[in-house]
Amino acid sequence: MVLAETVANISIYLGLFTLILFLVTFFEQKKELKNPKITRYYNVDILIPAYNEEYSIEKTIQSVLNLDYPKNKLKIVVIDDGSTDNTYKLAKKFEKQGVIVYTKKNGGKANALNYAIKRSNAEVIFSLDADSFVEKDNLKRMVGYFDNPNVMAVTPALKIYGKGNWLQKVQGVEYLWGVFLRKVFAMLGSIHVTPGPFTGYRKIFFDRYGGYDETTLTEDIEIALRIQGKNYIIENCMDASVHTIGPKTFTGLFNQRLRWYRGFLDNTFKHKYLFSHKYGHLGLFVLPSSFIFIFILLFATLLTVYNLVIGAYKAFLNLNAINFNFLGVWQFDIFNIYIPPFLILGLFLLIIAYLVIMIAKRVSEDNTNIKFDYLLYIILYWNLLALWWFMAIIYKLCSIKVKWSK
Amino acid sequence: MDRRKFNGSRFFLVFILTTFIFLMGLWFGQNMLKSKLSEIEKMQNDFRTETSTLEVEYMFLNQKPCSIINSSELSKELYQMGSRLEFMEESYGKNNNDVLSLKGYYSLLEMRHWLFLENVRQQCNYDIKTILYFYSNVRCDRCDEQGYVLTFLRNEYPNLNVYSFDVDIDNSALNMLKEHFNINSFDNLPVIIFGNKTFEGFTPLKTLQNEL
Repeated sequence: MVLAETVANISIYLGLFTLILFLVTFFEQKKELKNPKITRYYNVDILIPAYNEEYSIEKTIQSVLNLDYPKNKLKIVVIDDGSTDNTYKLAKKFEKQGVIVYTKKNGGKANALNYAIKRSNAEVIFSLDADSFVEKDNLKRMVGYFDNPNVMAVTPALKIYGKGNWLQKVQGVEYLWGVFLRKVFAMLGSIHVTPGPFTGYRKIFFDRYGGYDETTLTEDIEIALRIQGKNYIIENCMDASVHTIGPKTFTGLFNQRLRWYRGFLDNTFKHKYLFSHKYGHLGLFVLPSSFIFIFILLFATLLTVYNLVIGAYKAFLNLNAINFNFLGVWQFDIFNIYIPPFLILGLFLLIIAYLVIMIAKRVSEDNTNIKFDYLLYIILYWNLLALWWFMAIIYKLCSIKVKWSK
Repeated sequence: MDRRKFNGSRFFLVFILTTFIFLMGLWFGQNMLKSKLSEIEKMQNDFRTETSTLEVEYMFLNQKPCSIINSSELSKELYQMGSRLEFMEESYGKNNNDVLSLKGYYSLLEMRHWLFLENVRQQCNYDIKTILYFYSNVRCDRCDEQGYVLTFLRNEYPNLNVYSFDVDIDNSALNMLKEHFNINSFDNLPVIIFGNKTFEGFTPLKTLQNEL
């Protein structure tokens, strides 16, 4: 019990520290929430790599066609990565509206993007997953950031599409939390993921330092770390909402997270030079704290599971001794109600986290009701997260290959 | 790259804020526990007064001493005190000095109550059954289970009085009691003294029910 309480106290202290740091940063640099004014319209290519996306490809293309941006400055490119369903056929229908459709042998998402990057003459390239949808104003809100020549990428506010089932609701809260987090990371100069759904890149970066890494599981983490390694800036536009379809089954989500977290481990090891004071907040706080967080999460979860199993076993023995007649020993005494400090602080932490999500909702102009979803998130998310990280580490330590999954 | 430059003063401010909030939380929790300790202390004082009152009444009215004896309320208070102390042990830790000192005093109150009832039982020929239960929180694998069995019995049989003694408590009266009943080794715990019989090791519910 003493160990469990100590671990809980350490976790809460660190959680509180991180949350307060994020809030102080956010409010200190609040003026950065305002997007830069558009001074000129860049030549933009939007690349949509697609592999077996017949259920969403039309909606994705249509959302891009609806973008409010000069048509002569915008090129939409779909790269069919050897789909075995109707993806190519459905994308072809949009050719008459100016959409360029390539088809090639299956080679993976990074390979498909590189295929189109090589053929692009644009100044700015946006990638867009074929299961994600943009909002009309996204481009106009985002491209102004490229006026700063040191900005090599601009990320949007990524959200889960629709309400969906309970698993998608939990992801919905997680993504809203991510909306806030990504902005704060931008304020700390420490964004280390440039998500597939609608991140914009300055084309010159690809020309100078090569395209996406085709060997990694998470090309979006790799390229972000590479940009940071070259001392360029990754920005975030908090009010450019992009909606992506979250996995709706437990297995689908598990496979996705296994790939993400294993990819995170692989890429942080690959770019381990970033763990240095030379990279400021990123090297001294953001990346190291991710690993501390993973360690504490796993340790606390294993300890909780251990205590639950031992507790259940002891309860079984005790009840067995009285032939499971638990009413015979039941007694209620209000005196025995006690909330330990770590629970009070934990509750405080959850309330602040909820307020943070409310801030993310407000700034990103989101009006969904998430009260019940947040409760679901508190109950389920941490257990799922611990499971995903645990498996990702096992896969990494045992060098088990992870299949690419959305 | 100004934004990425490590901002030491911001981190220091956050450290101060976090530590303040964290200490406030701990202080609040500690105060809550302290108020519970004082509550137990008050209970013990009240109990001491009530036992003394009963003893004085018993001595004073020696004409019809047995007619006024009703100690069931006192027994209930004693049990409640015991369960609250058990809770404090769980919350504060088994080695907390404040809890241990209250527990030591609790053992004395239990002994006093037991001796008083023994006296009444002999004088008045009352059907009062008594169990003395010796346990340890640290050196006994099955004491938890035994505790459950005894709580169950106590609730089932209102005439049964159970006095539990933690053998790890060091006080001379309890040491004398342990010596009297030959509780010398921790290997035999839990030990139950029921009338003239001694049960060593875990004693099942059925066995004890047969004795009642």
